[in-house]
Amino acid sequence: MILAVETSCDDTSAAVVRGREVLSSIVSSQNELHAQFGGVVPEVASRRHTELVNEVVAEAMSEAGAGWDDLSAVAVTQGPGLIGALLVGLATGKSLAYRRRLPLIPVNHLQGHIAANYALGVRAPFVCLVASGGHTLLAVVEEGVRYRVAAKTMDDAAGEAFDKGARLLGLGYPGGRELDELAARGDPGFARFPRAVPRGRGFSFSGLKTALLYDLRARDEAEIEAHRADIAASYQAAIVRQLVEKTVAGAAAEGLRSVAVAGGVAANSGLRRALGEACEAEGLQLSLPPLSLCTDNAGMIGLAAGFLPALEWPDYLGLDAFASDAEAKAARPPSKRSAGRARP
Amino acid sequence: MILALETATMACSAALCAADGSLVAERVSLAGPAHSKLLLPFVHEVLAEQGAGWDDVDTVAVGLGPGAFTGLRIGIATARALAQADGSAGLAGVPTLTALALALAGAPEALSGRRLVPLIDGRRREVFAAVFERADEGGVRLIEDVAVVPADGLAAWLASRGDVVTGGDGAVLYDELLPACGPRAAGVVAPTAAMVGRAVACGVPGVVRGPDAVLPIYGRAPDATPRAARNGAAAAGSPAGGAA
Ligand SMILES: [Zn+2]
Repeated sequence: MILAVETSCDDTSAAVVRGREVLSSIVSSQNELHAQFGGVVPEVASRRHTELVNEVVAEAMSEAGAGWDDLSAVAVTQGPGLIGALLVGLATGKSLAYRRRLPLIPVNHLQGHIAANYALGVRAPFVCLVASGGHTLLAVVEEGVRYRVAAKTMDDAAGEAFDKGARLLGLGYPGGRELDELAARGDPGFARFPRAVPRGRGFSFSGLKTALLYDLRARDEAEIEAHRADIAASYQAAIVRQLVEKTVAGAAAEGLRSVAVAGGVAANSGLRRALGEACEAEGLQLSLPPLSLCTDNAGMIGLAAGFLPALEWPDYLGLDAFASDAEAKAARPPSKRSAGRARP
Repeated sequence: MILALETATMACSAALCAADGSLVAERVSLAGPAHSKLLLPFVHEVLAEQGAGWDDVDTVAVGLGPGAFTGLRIGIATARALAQADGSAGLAGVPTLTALALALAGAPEALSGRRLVPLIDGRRREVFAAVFERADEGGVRLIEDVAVVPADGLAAWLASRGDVVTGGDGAVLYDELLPACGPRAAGVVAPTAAMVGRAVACGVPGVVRGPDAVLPIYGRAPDATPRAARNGAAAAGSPAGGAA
């Protein structure tokens, strides 16, 4: 069994995973805490992780019926994410592993999202739409959690487009979820947003956000009030259309018949419905993880860990977190020779 | 033995202390914020150097701050997780300013009657400060709890506290601003794990025990304004993007 810890953004999570089975996954969401600020405040998130992470670990262990001696490794999100938040989980994961003389498996958060699909029995190769507040890309998963990027966003992430749209529409936090709920009651054909999907293989959402801004400016307050759900539905449909078309086209270009989704935006009901319809029409097999495996959770980190190399005790003690993939190289673990030797 | 950690400032350290607080082994880096890379290797080294196993560690102790938030959390998360995974070792914390004050009490500059004023760099040209005096049996007594003092007002703030001896990274940083009312203890340049271990062993006031209590003392609220307190929700920026 692997104990996994994930604290890359505003959810404090721990899980116990055996192979491709998530035995427990505890997520302590900080949504209510951040709602008062209208967005995730990194320092607030880091403080909360520090208070919660040990309890969440204890709960995950007890729900899985696991004792320390049942564990074969500890997995932890190393990045990308909010650096201060990541460091709380990393210090925790490293220390738990060190004290129990266990190997440590550092996990890339995006590989975690992709791995959530293995709980559903997906088989590589497949294309995976990874869409969240921080990332939007189409990954070609070659084997395990090894992937190559077939397309990525040229500006905003899809989750950002949802959140910014929600803010323009005067909705609460978390914006993406509020927008989704409102859109469910609206007419997606009400407002006209650019239909054209950007050329090439990249995603682009900033134009849609601007189009929404101009659409709202062109209407008076009463009209917006009366049609808020319709405008939300139209805006959501435009984002979803792009995500679905790019994903289906990507699968065709790669000659793959298996499609998966990952990330917080995969919890969007409009996307789930549209992608389901499109894949059915194209005869593609779709892996659509349950919502609990789409939003940030340690279960997916434990699943990914099963495909990744472990660092043996105590080679990982100097491991650092990384905020972005660009920093990942600098955060590589120290070599065996330098670990355990006195430093100046 | 006590395994002690201290990461509230640029100094990162781990130490093994005997039950009476005497230092057995220590690793210190004053080099800057690389606590994530340094702290656990230091722990491993002090244990290995003594041939000590976890059976020998009955308490994991950590400095609670205030200080730099990220480093502070690395030390506290490390201590909490080590104690959690150990199961039988106790978890203890001591305010970093108190650990520093105890070290100041033993400094040659701390003539009797002088108040002990540890200073920690709070960044943004501010220092965290507290005022102590010597207590019986080599301990310290808190007179004035943590204050955030602007560097530019530090001299006046200290002058109004009478005859003092200062120390800590805040005192080193603002050495030129310290008034003539008392010396800086030359040997107390930053809080270290040895000071934390000794403070916990001596049971100075402010020592707390158990995971419900061993949490950071930030000394300052996060930089964030609740929506309700702002003019117009439209101005609210999402610093990091919301979803997953
Ligand atoms: Zn995520």
